[in-house]
Amino acid sequence: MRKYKSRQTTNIDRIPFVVSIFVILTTVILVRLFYVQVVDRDQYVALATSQHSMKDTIFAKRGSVYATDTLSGSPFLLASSQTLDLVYLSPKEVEDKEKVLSSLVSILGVKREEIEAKWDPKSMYLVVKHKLTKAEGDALKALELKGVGFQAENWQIFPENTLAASILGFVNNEGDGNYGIEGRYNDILKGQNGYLNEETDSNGIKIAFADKGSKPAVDGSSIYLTIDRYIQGTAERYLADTVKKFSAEGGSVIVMDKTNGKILAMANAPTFDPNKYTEVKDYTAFKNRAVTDVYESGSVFKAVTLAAGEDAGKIKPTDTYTDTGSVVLNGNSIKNSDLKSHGLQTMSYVLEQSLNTGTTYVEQKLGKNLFYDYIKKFGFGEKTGIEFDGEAKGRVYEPEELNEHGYATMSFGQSISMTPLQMLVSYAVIANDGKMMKPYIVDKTVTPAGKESKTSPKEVRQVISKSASADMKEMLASVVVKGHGKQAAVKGYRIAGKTGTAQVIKADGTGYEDGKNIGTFIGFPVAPDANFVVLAKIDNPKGVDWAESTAAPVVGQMLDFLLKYYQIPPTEPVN
Amino acid sequence: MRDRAKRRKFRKEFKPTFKLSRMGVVVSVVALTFVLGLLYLSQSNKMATSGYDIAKLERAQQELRLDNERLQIEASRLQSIQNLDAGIAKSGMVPVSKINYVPANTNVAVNIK
Repeated sequence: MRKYKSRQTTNIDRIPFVVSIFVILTTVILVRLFYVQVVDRDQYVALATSQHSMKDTIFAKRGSVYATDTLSGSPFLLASSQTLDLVYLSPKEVEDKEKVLSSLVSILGVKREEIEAKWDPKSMYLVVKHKLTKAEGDALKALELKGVGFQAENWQIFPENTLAASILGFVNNEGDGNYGIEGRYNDILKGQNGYLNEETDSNGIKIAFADKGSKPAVDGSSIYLTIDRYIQGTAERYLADTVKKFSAEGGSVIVMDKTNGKILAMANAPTFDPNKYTEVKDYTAFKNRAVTDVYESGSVFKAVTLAAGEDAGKIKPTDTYTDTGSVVLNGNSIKNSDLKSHGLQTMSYVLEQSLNTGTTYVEQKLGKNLFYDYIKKFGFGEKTGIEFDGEAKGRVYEPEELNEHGYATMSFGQSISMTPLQMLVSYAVIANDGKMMKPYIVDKTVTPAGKESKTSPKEVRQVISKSASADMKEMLASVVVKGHGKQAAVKGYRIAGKTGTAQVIKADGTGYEDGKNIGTFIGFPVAPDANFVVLAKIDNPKGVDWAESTAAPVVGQMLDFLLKYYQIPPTEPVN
Repeated sequence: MRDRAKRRKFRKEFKPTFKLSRMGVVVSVVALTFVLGLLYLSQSNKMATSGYDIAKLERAQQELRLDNERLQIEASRLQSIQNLDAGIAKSGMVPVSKINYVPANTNVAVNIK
C-alpha cells in the first residue's frame, strides 16, 4: 500500500516537471521562431528567394564599329563586342594547390610567382587571367579543378589593333567608351542592360512559364564609318615611316572627299592599341590630334589669302607687285623666309616661292575687315562639326584686336591658329569649285532591329566663286611644278598643293621655340573624278627645316596610292 | 391545370432509364476530380520537362552565339591590314608601280590585227 502510494506521488510530481520542460522548449522554439521570422526575416527571405528564383542582369551587347572597304564593297569590322572568360581562384576551396598552380602555368602561361604573391589561403577571389582564348578555357575546364572558377566578361575587341585607334578610342573595364567614336557614341553603342527574374528548381534550372517579370537587354547600335580601311592603313604606314625617319614628335594625315565631306582616312602619330590601352604611358596618344590640336599653320595658309583676294576681285594670277624683300608696318618689318627681294613678281610666283611680302600685299589690298570676313567664311575660328568630342575651333583675331602688322602676319599663317582639319577643309573648298562641305566620319548608325540612320552630305556655303577656285587650282598646281611642292608630284597627273613650315609657339606664349617647326602640306589632283584632298602634318622633325622635305613627300605618296586605288587614268604625259 | 396534367403524362410516358444515386454522384465527382488532377499533374510535368529542354536549347544557342562572335573577330583578324602586310611580305609581292590604262573608245583590236 505504501509502496503504491509512493509511486503515485512520484508520477504526480513528474507532471509539473514534464510540463515545465515542454513550456521551456516551446518558449525556446517561439523565441527562435521570432528571431527567424521577425528579426532575421530579410536574411532568410533573401536566402529562400535565391534558392528558388533567379534574379540577374542581362548585359546588352555593345554595338560594333565598321570601316568601309571600297574594293569588296562590304563593311569591315573595326571593333566588336566579344564575351570572353575570366579565370579566378578561390584559394580557400583549393584542395591540391600544386596541381592547380602547375595547370594554370602550363595552360595559361601565367607566372607562378605572380599567383603565389597574391595567394591568400582565406581568400575566395583571386583573378588569374582575363580574356581567355577558347582553347585555354576548354583545356582548363576539362581538368575540373576544385577552387578554379570562370566568369564571362564582355570586351570590346579591336581586330585591326592600332588601325584607326585615334578615331575609335577605347572601351574601359566598366564597358564605357573613352575618346574617339567609342566615347562620343557611348550611349548608343552601349545599349541598355535588362534583367532576369524567374523561378528555378532545386538545381537552379529555370521553370518554364514561371517568369516573374523579366526585361530583355537592348543591344547597342552599330556605327559605320566613312573611313576606308586601305586608305587609313596606307596613311598610317606613310605617316609612321616619316615620323620615324625624321625622329619627329608626331603628325597627322587626313584624306577627305571634297564633294561630300566624307573623311576617308584620319591618321595620327603617336598611336596606340585600343586592346591594350592600359599599357599606354603617354595619354596624349589617345587624342585625335587632327581635330583637337591647334597650331599656326604657316605658309600653307597663303592659299586662303590669295583665294580671298581672287574672289574679292582684288588680284588675278597674272597681277604683279614689286617685292623689295621687306614690308614695314607699325614699326615692324615683314620679310620673306629666304630673306631675299624678288623684284617685280606675279601672284602665281607669290605662291610658288611662298613670299610673305606677296601675301601681305594681298591682305593690304583686301583690308582687315574683308580679310577677316573671308577667314570666317573659310571656316576658321569655328568648329567644323565633325563627330568628335574635344574638337578645337582655333583662334582668329578680330580686326580691332590686332594692328596692321599683326593682321598682315595672318596672311601667311601666323597670329592665327587652327586645327589640321580646318586647314584641310579650306583647301577642299578651293578644290571643290568654292563650295564648302561639312566634314563627317559617321556614315550611318544601324539599330539591332536594322533601322538605319544615314548621314547626308551637307553643303555649308559657297565660299569663293567657281572662277576664283579655277584660278587657285592653277596657281597651286604651278607650286608643285615650279615651287616648293615638287616632292608631292605624281607622274602623269597635275597635282595642286602648298607647303607650310610653321614656327612653334612657346608654352608661355612669349614668342617661338628655337629649332622647332611643324611642316604641313595639302594637295589634291586636278583631274576629273579625283575627289580627294590630302593633308600631311609632321610635328618637330629633326634635321630638316622645311615642310617640302617632310610633309610634301607623304602627300605625294598618298596621292600616288589614291590615284591607283581609285583607278584614275593619267591626265598628263607620263614621260 | 391542363399543363400540369400534360407534364404528368409526359413523365409517365418517358420514364428515365438511368438513375444516379447520391453515392453515384459523389463517386463521379471524386473520379472526375481525380482525372482532372492527373491531367493537371501530367501537364505540370510536361511544363517542367520543357523548362529543362528550353534551358538546354538556350545554352546551345548561347554557345553558338559565342562561337559566332569569336569566328567573326578571328576572320577580321586574319583579314586585317597588319596580317595582309605580313602575308604580302612572305609571298614576295611588290606594290604596283605603274598601271597602263587602255582608252575604252579606241579600236585596239584592229590595231593588234
